[in-house]
Amino acid sequence: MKRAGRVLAWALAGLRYRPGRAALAGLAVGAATALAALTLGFREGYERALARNVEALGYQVLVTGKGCPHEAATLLLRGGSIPMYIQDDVARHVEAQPEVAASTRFLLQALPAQHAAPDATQLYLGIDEHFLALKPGAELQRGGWFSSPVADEALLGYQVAEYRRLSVGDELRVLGSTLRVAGVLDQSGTQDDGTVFLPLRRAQELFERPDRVTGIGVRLHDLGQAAAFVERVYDVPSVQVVRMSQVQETILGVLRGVQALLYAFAASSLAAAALGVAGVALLSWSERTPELGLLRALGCPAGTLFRLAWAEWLLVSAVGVAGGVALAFLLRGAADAWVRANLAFVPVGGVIALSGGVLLRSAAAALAVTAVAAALPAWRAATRSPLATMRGGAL
Amino acid sequence: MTALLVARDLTREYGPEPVRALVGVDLTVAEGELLLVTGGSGSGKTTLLSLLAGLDAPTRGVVEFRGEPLGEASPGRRAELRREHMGFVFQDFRLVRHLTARENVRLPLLFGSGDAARAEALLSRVGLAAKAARRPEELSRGEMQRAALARALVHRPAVVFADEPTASLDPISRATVWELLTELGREEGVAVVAATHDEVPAEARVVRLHEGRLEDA
Repeated sequence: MKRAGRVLAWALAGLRYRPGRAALAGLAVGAATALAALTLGFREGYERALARNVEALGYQVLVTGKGCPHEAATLLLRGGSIPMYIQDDVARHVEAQPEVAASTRFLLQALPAQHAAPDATQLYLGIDEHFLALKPGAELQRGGWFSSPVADEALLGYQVAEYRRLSVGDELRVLGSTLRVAGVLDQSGTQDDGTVFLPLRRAQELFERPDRVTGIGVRLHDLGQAAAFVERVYDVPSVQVVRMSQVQETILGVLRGVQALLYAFAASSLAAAALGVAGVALLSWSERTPELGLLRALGCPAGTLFRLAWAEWLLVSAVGVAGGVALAFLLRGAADAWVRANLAFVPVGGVIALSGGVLLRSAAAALAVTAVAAALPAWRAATRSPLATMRGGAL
Repeated sequence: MTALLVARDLTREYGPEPVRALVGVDLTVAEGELLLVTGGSGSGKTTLLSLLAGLDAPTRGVVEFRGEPLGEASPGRRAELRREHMGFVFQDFRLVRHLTARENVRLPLLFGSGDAARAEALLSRVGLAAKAARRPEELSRGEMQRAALARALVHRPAVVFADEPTASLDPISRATVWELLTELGREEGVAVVAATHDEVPAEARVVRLHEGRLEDA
């Protein structure tokens, strides 16, 4: 323990030799660690946010009108009009299937948003009485449910209420009609927060889609029945059906290409940092050859000298890694914004998850790579002949 | 007196067309003895000290430390002998420039025996207690050599090898360093083998090298 303390003290003292150079090496390690953490955090965060968004829908299977079901599901997650509809009689047929435990019909429409950016849209979702019951944990923060299926009323998502400063009893105008705010939903961290909910039948009137719905969310008695349900509904000519788990997999499949690119970038930066550490350490020990010779002359065993030389650059790496973890937290917001600006579909909620596991894996990878890189110069330093290095000039 | 170091027929040649740095040297150093090796530049003084310390291997001949032939010892064992029983003082001090005087004195403790209290006592003994936190560049040359002397003694060696320890110093500092070297050697019972051009302390035994051969002083 005492000897370990001395080695640490030596390593700390060694940083006084050209501290700027050591700081630069540490900075490179820090940047690489931060990049690795953000990349791993992106994977974990995106998957988690997507799973949360899908889970928040409250159903396992989505039935929509003919078209691409994955596109429909993605539009549903992201928000946007789906120009495909299911007729009322078809909807009843779907709901009557024996595997269906619960279902909810909805009509999704988007209109240009008032008082917002020119290309911004406001989502309107006509919902039936089963909508909230299907959603896990969804509750009204204030107010109540619609007074009737055709009431001129709206429920507001949390952000809509906050952004437009509307509360229960206030009025809002939609396509020339005046609606009264009946309630405000609790914050969910999903697309719902930015949505205005209307009674389904009133929405069908308002958007001139009588007896039509955009989709039906279905919860099955048993997820194992999904294949049978999908097969049966597949035979209905005007609808298509998709499991939300499939949608999740499809989105993640598209994402894997981006992730592979980011992994390659993070791995390259780790390799560059390792090369930097190795190069700077080699240069440093080359300059400090007489010092090494002195230690050898004083009887320092090669193994101890290796540990001393190694410890110095391990310390640089460790400080760099710690700084990198802090840097990752600092850059998380910017990375999240970058992801949103550059990817076609990003789920609502933070997509960079800097969990303990992510930080541990990034730190361990950076430390391992730089430790290996620092070992070569340390080995070279330790295996020099004492007499030859003694003649290496002034200390 | 008990023999600490014994050299027999010690010869060292360098290069493919051998240049003889040392030729057939026979020498004994007793425990606690002060031995001065004199001679002109290139006479083989540094080579002799390197061979006696096990830093270099002779082309021919034997060096024994307390009866143990250094030529038969592994590099690790020779390092162990230096670590446990030998101290070194160099002409150019060889202090690590980014370490303080205190850290330089404690350097052998990184891998050998000894303790911090002993380092502090020696810093006081050589008059550097007040300057222990200074780096070499903030010390005079005499002070640097005194720090190097404390470093050579911190692990209680049996012998200190001093290679022209006063050659880079002014006359006053030379006297101080010799005084400390002889006094500390006597107090600690440490043998001192020093190569020098200086006038020598009265109690020292002196041998003279000329073109690699030992002459009567």
